[in-house]
Parts: sequence; C-alpha cells; structure tokens
Amino acid sequence: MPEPMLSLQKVNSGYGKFHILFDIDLEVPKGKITVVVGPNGAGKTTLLNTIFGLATIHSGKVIYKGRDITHVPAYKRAKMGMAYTLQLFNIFSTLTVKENLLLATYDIPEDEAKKRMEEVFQLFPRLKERLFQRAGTLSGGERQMLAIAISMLRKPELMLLDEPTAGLAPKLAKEVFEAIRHLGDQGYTIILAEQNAKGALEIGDEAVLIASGRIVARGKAQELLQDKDLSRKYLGLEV
Amino acid sequence: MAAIDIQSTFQALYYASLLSILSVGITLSYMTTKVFNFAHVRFAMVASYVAATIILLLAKAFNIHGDFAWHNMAGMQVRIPLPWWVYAVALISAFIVGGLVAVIQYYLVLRPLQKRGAGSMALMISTLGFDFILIAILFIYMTLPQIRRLTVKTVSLVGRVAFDSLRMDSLDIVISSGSVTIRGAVILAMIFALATIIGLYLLLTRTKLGVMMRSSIENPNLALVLGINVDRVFAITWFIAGAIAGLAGYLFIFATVYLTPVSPTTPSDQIIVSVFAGSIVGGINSVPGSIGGGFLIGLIEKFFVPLLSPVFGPGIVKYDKVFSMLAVALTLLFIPEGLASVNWKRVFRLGGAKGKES
Repeated sequence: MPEPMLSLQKVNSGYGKFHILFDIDLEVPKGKITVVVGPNGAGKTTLLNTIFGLATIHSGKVIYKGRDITHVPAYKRAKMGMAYTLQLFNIFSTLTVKENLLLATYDIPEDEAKKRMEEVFQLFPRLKERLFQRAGTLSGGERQMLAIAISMLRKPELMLLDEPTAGLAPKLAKEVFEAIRHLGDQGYTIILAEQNAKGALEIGDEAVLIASGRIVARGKAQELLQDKDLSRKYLGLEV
Repeated sequence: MAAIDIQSTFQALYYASLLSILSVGITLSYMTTKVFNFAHVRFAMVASYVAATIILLLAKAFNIHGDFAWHNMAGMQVRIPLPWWVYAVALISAFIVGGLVAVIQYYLVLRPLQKRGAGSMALMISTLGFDFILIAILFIYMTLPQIRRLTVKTVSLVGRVAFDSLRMDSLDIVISSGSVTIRGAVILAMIFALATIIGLYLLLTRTKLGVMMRSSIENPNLALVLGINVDRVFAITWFIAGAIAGLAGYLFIFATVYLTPVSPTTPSDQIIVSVFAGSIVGGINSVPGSIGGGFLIGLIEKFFVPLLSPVFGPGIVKYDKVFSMLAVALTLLFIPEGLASVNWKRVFRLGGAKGKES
C-alpha cells in the first residue's frame, strides 16, 4: 500500500486546556478526496485545525509526507505544500479580489503566479470580472470561490476545505462541489469537512464519520452514504 | 477673537505634529495586539536619553565645540550649534532604539502573555508594568557614574547638560527672520508628521510587507494559512510604532522643559493622555485616522483653547486636557469607531444638499 500523504497517530487535541479530539487515527491517501462528516460540534473544524497547526496538540503525532510535523508552526506548514480554506473569515474582506489573490502568491515568482491565476480564472471566471472589487462586497458563492481560489493558487499538495458550501443556496453549493470534484480529478489531495454530508459523500473518495471528538466510522465515501444506520443516526440522512 | 501670534501658531503645530506621530504608534500597536500600550510614550523617553547620550559621546569623541554664532543663510539668520551629522546620528539612534524597545515589549511581555491566554485587561496592565520597568531603568541610567562623568566632561564643549534634568534646547537649530524665530525641533516635528503619513501610506499600500501587515491585522488566522509569519509581521509593526515614537523622543531633548524619566513636567507624562485622546478620536483602528486625530487634539489644546482666554480668562489654558477628554467622550458617545469611521463623502453630500435646499 502506498505511503499516505498525511497520517494522524493517536492524536488528542483541542484549544489550550480544552480537549476536543480523542485518539484520532487517520490516513489520507494521495490524490483522493477524503470527506470528514459528522453532526454539529463533532470536531470537524478542530480536526482540520489540528492538521494545519492551528489547534493545541496534547499528544500523538501528525505525519506529513513521511515527516513528523506535530510541532511545526502553521505558517511553515503552508510553505510545505498545505493549504487551508477556513469555514469563516476565509478571505480578506477589506482587500480587493486582486489583492487577495496576490497575497496567496506573495512568495511565488511573478510569471508562475500569473500562470496560476489564469488557471484559477478558467475554473472561476466570475472572479476575473470582480478583480478590482472589494472582497467584502462579493456574494456568498463568489466569496467561497475566492476562498478556494486562494488555496488553489498555492498549488498545494494537500488541500483542507472546511465547509465550503456553508450558507450557500443549493445551486451554488452544487457548483462548489463540482469544482472540488474537478480539483480531485486533477490530482489534488483534499480533505473536505462538510455539514452537507450527502453532497460531500457523493463527490468524495474516502470518508470518515466523526462524532463527539472521536472517529466512529471510516471507509469508502459511497459505502458510508449507503449505510442506512450511520446515515440516519449521525447525519440525519434518509437513504 | 484673540489674536494668535505666529510664534504660538508654530508652537501649536509642533505640539499637534508630536501628538499625531505618537498617536499613530498607539494605533499600530493596538491594531496588532488589541491592547492600549501605556508604555508607548516611554519608548520616546528611552530614545531621548539614547539620542542625548549619542550627542554627548560624539561631542567628546570628536572634540566638537558648540557653535552658537548666527550665520546668514538664504537671507535668514541661522544658528546650528552642532555639525549636521551629529544630529543625524542621534536621530537614527533614537529611531532604532525606540523600535527595539517596542519589539522587546512585544516578544518578552505581550506575546508570552497572549500565548498563555491572557485577556485584554491583563495585557493592558502588563504594559503599565513594562512602563514602570522602563522608568526604573532610565533612573538607574541617569545616575550611573559613567554618565555623570560624560556630562561633566562635555560641559565645556556643548554647554551645560545634565542627565537629571535632560535639556538640550540650547543645542537646537534656530532659524530667525525678522521678528519670527523658529526652532529646528518645531520644523522637524512637522516634517516627521508629514513623513510618517506619506511613509506609512506607501508602506501599507505599495509594498508586499504593507499588504502582509494589513492582512495579518485583519485576519491573523488566514494570514497564517497563507504562510505569513504573523508573529514576525506584528513584531515589525511594533518596531515601526516604537521607531516613530523614537522620532518624538529625539524632539523631546530639544524641549524647553527639563526632562526626567518620570515627572509632571516631563513631556511624555504630560502628553500621554492627549496621545490616547488623539488615537481614540481619530479612530483606534485607523492609521490615517489616528494621525488626523492626534493633530486635531493638538490643535484643540494649543490653538483653540487659548482662543477662549478672552472669555474665560488666561487660566483656561491650564485646562486644555479637559477639552481633549471632552472630545474623547463625545467621540465614544456618537462615533465610537472615531472620525475615520465617518462616511465623510456622505456627510459633505448631505451638507451640500441641505445648503441647496435652503
């Protein structure tokens, strides 16, 4: 079996003294979309924060590309090829769309940055039309597109997406899911934490179900979607 | 209406400029750590002592005698007691030292406390504690035998200077034309204020560092996930805030009052209230707002309050701080985010529309 892109080994984490995740063991395969689903307050965001170094790790290890990064600060993880689209406040609303995109490429050579921007505009043409608009004035869907675009510009090897469809109308949510599937097909390794379990599991490859800070189920995304008992009990889905 | 002579006008502009460069520092440090830094003006005092020491050391090392003669330059009488480079070295030293003291406070006091989860009140109290430490260090410094010996040795060179009453106004550049005499510190204060406005504008809008500063201030977590070392960016911001205070400190040594590390007559202790007032009135979260706010408070205290003396008597000028506090109270009541948060375009449009109606 190939070495996973990322693995968590018996991780206990939270914020300061608050303990939120318990004994998390997780392996994220390269080039796949791993979906993290679970009810509200289950610890999905904390899991992503733990992976990116924004939470306090009490014990356990985080291994990324074979290297122990448990105590590596967040900004260094970004330079190691990880990108994270936060659920809330995931764009700089006082800056223009262009400034947001430039910030994502501040440490990349200019020519390469331009090339990457063109790729982003192909996926999200609406952003090109809004280039000089203040990001805070974008619609909800456009904001999420910008947030994902910021992550994409980093050309990450591992992309963390925290509820990118939260608060979006169904049509827009579908567009965002399609864009994520497209990224998965391009070979991006993605961890997608979603409240919209059905939509996420439909586009995902692997899946873990998290509840009360513990992983309660894992497997292929489609299998989890078909599991009537789990779907009803934890995700409120009728299969 | 009372006549304000040109000398007093310049004095008011000097004071207003001083307040604006100190207020912007308070705002920069507040924007990064969300704490009012009570030690901010003391950075200026530390810079004062360093700049004064540098001047004396250079005078001693290069056997520089103060030149107190008047020279004719471009039709004006000018007195430049020391060579230009001595002023420049002292100024650069004050700038750097002010910045370094601020960085020390950020890394040794505020950052560790923040990492332990300290609230804003604890952080604010810690800034007072740091202020007391700086005062103690300055008292120890000014009574060091080496410093006393240095001042004794330089008396014959640059005139009487003692660190227990730090006052070097005799070494200030003076420009005289007709009945108007302007001190160099007054002109420098206005230049510093202007340079601060232009410099910060260019830094924040035209440089990569500036955009990183703005982004880190707006959303530190997002900046972190983009690979920005937010800690370092904040430390640089503190350096800039402290360095700008250092500029004010350089000006303090040419003030016409005696300086000690802490006393009712020391400029830093006299103006700290006004500096906070400038920052709050202008907008505690706005760099241009705080510059304007500081300038406005300075003009209120030293320009508009004296205008009231024919009505309320000359004693009114003693109560100039009351007017600053009144401005703070009114701001917090009606525009808590300060003058910078007001949509001035809309205000002027409305004013224009009403004017047309009437």
